[in-house]
Amino acid sequence: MTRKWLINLVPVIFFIISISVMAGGSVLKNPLGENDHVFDAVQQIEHHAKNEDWTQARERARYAVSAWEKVVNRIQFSVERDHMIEISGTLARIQGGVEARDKNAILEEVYYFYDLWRNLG
Amino acid sequence: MMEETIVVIVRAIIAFFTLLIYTRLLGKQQMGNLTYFDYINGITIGSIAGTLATDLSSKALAHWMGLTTFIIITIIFQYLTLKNRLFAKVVDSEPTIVIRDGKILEKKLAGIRIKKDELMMLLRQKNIFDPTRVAYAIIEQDGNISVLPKAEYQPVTPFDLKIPVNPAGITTELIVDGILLKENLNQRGKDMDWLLMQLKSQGVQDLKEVSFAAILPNEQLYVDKFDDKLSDMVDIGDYKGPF
Repeated sequence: MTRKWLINLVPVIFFIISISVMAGGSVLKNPLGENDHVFDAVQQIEHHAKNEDWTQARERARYAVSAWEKVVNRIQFSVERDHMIEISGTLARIQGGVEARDKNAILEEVYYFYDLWRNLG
Repeated sequence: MMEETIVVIVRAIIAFFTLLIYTRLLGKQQMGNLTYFDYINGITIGSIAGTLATDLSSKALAHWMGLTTFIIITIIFQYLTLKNRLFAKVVDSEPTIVIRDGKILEKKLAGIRIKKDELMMLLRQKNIFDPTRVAYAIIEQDGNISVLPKAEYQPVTPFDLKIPVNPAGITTELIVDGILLKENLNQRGKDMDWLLMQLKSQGVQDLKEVSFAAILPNEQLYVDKFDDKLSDMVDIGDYKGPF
């Protein structure tokens, strides 16, 4: 009886874990610690770019990229590869815009990033 | 950035065990009686599982849901075909008689789109080289042919000759790779003492020496040891060496 119960339970547990892994992107993209606040960092970049505070914007851009690398490690099992590549490209262009001190370019990429982030997971 | 190798490994593990669980849920019907639709369905399910494992450009969950949907529909159809005979006939079609009393039924053959060459091939695969000897030939739903030879061409059985025979039985495994299957021993109404005595009479001192042992239908114990001690090993390979 115990064996039959176990044989039925193991697949159920497996499916619960599998679905959690495959669907966890929308939850796991949110910050879990101190160094993975990607969305907040990009919002701050927008704010600094509008105020033309390029030093702060540069620092936030670097932080956003390193935070994103942490987030990627945990969402990669549930998110499309192309979507993650697109976000990486957007952050790279934001960094480029900060270096070039091009407010318009930064704001374009920031808003594109917001859309990508909303659809992530 | 994304570790594609690790992601593929994880997705492949999910796909593999999902497929394993689902094929067990589908049961033996899917494996044993493959109609053309079952065959196509199986290929499609396998294809979805493969995409789940390796296609990183789309979400794993979407493929998993597609796979699950296919399995659920298949199980529903299995249930409905069990409960409703008409539905089963619509879904799985019916067996078709294509030869009767040695005569080919051309219209029936054309209806299931099988050529006469294919029919002859199917007959030959059943060791029938003379269609005049066939009482009935039936193409089943899975495309196989079932042949009933005419009475005068059927093999003789002990019943025909009124020869008394022992009742048919099955072989029950008792030891596999040195490990005793206790439930099977109890099932055949034997105990350890009997087994050990039988093994001793065949020169076996320890269960670990036995590669395979089984109770035959005639209640004798068949024992195959790991060390077969065959003096005359026939090598049928064309070349020496480990191939």
